[in-house]
Amino acid sequence: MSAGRILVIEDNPADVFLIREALREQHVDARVDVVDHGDRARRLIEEHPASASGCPDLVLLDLNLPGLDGLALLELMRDRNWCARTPVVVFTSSESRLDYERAMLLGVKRFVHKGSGYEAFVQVGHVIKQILDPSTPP
Amino acid sequence: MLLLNSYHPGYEWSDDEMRGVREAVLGARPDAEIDTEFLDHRRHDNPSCADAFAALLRSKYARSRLDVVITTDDAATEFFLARGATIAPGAPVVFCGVNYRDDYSRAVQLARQGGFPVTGVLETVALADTARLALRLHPGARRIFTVGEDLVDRYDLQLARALPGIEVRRVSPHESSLEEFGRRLEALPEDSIVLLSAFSHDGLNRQLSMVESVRYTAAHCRVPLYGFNKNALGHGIIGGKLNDGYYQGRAAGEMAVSILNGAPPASLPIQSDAGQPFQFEAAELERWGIKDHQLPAGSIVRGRRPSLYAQYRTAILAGSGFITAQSVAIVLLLFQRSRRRRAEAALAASEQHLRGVLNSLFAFVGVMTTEGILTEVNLAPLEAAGIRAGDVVGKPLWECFWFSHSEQERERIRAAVLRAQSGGSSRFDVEVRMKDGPVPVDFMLTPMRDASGRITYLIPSGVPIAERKRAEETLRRSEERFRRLVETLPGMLFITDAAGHNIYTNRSFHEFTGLSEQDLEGEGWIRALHPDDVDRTRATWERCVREGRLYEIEHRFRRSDGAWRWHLTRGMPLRSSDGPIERWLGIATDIQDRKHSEAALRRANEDLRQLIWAASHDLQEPARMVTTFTQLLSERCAGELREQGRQFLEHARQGAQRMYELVAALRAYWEVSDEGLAGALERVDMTAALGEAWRSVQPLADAACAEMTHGELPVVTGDRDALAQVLGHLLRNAVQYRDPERRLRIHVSAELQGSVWKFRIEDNGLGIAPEHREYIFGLFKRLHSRGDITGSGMGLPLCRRIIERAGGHIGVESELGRGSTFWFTLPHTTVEENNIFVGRAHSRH
Repeated sequence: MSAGRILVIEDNPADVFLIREALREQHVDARVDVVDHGDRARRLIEEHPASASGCPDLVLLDLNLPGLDGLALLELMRDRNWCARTPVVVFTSSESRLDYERAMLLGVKRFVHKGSGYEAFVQVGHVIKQILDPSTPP
Repeated sequence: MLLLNSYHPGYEWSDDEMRGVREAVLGARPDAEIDTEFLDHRRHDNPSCADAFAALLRSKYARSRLDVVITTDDAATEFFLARGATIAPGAPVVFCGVNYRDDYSRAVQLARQGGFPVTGVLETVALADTARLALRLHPGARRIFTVGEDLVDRYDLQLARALPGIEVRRVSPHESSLEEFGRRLEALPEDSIVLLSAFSHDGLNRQLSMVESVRYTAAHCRVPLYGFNKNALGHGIIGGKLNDGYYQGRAAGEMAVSILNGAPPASLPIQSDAGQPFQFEAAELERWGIKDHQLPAGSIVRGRRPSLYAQYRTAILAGSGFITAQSVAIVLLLFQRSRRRRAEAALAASEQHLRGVLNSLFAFVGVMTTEGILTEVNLAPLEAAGIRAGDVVGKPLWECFWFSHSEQERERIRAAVLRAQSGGSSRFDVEVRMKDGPVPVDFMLTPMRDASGRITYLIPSGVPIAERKRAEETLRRSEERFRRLVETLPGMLFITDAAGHNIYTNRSFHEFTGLSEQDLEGEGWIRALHPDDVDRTRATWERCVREGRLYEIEHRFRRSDGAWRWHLTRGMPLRSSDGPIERWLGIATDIQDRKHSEAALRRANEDLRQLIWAASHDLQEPARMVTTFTQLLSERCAGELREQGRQFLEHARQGAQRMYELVAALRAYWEVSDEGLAGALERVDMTAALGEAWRSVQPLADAACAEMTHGELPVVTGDRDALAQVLGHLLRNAVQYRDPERRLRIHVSAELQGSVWKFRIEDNGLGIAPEHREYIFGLFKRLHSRGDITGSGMGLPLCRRIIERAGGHIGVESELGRGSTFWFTLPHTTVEENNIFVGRAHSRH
């Protein structure tokens, strides 16, 4: 599996830990950059109108963030045309249909619920692997 | 010379003027050539016509010299003064019949300055002369009424100034219908004289011709009627110094002759009196008995036919003698006799009529001699007393049955008779004895005089006023009751006048504010208001008073101990029966405590809402962490623990899982609240929704060997997921609370009840005790310990919330040990008319 770069926007360090764990189990050998605050994510988007080479290979986005929330960040990315080709996976504990619909309208690749156990992390790890390596069996 | 008319040939006024001009001019200068033109202003008042007419005159008179131009009336005069310089430059102008106007002399002055030699005859209203003559011919007259549209106020003023001591007023035909105008004319006092000018319409804008207006006025005018214009003569006016075109034309013609004879126009002063004579109608003079010798010298009497005597003088003289004289005597006698007979019959009929009228009155009426002896009495007082006319007629009134009960009343009647004998009227309330006892009567005694002023009879009359007295008493008592009620009402009551000024405040108002009625009067009550509420209160109150709307406001009044207390004040306009607001009735209610508890409730609700939000959102993350890590711990590290450690871990894992479920349920509940999410409304096939719900509980149901059947279910409007969730909860509930002793059977049915669908989910489970039936819909309420039956305790509250938000109700009927029937209703609506709003929630438990 080729190395890539994943931007994780997630404020809960335990979740970050579990995400890393799941990626390791899936043998996804990518660099994981973490932004743990909505406002810091906004600055990143605003101050680095990244060229294609500077873009991450995947964004894993939590919706419930301190500061600017996940959906607002998604809107900002779309408004700024920030890394438009980078797939975004939403990983959230939100079960709201509106959140789901808005995220899909804003062009996210997948929407994964965090659920109440480790299975959700296994699932998101698999989703990421599939996106980064289309040859992965579903 | 040019004679330029304002109007058209055939118009009586213009024809008169032309006749006057011609007679005057041709009489003195038979050699004069008179060209006559007509502006035709009355029929074609149009500037473009005037322009074309001016062009025509210009081309006609471009080569001939005009020695003088006579213009008749305002229109032609104004036309020529404005355009004459291009038609006949420098030609002298003599106007005729121009109405007096303040600015007219100035117009003439300007025309003269412009090189126009102008003079003429003004049409002057000789009203004062007419009025003076009328007052002389009718010596009893003290008032003059003017009628018509030309008699503007200015003339009234002139008249009033010219006739000191005489009342001058208008009767305008433009203020009402013609009929009403006629009635007003008929009602004019006898000592009046009417001066009439024709009018063209009444107050309803009904059009009348000049002659119609004169005839109508004459027909309704019962006092002498004098006129203003010669044209009215012969249609009902007596006469007057009338405006007459002929005389004005003559005067203008004479001036034109002077100019033709070489007099400079400026040397001829403008005349305001065309020398018009007094003119009269013979028939009217006769009617009012006015003799020729009373008329001013030079008066013209029109319509006089030669008298019979003058006509048949010879024949009468020839037939003189015995036969003629005797015939005349016989005729006179016959005439007189028949007249007397007719008069007697009429009198008898009229007396009978009058008696009938008196007898049908409920009032008491009689006739007495000047000594007070009753000679006539109508039926009413006889019937009321149960007596006959013979019992009282011929007796002094005070000795009649009616006053036999009281020396005091007899004395008062006697005194009234004495007073009447000396010409005074009396009126007082008196007790009159009737067959059922004395009754109060409004009594009046008046002397009646004959033509010479001598007192001939005394007329006693009376109206029983028992009803009135009773009504007054009832009113007084009801007012008293109302006042007592108002006084003791706990609310602060006030009454204001129509303009909103306080005129009454009740005792509660005084006691609360510690202010007196005087303090609160008018706008004084505003002083009892909190300063911050004054502007708002005043503005609202003023608007309501202005628009007559119900008044409602919350504001603070100062209690006598200085505490501010919130009050709800309501005001209501009180109208008289025919509409206008007479009073405002208001009441102020202390709502301090209510406001306080409302605020407390609002705060508590808000706290609760925040608590649920915090619990459902903020607790979810830590709960998830605990479940996830205990799971990882037991999966990956169990081998490192001993048996007891593994047991502890399992307990922790289960507890964490349950905590996570509770938080998720709470969150689902919150999301069906107002702030939560709203699902889209759609057509929901409840059969399909039931199938979906059944699949969600199938594993549990299969394990319990449950059997589910259903009847025909409708299609409703709502949120598919939410409704499926409700069905799922109720099915799961049935499965969970099944009776282990028997196989669970569930039956789902629906029935249209009026405008709602009622759904029923029946089971043969454990049943619910009556005292628990409401309890189970409360948050986190479970009837069984966790060991028995699992569940978050959030299912039924969530169902209730979903159903109520959809406009329905939910409930349960149950018999302990036999089973339960959960039911819910949904509105029966079509998609188009639907405005229901169904909350939506996802939950996993």
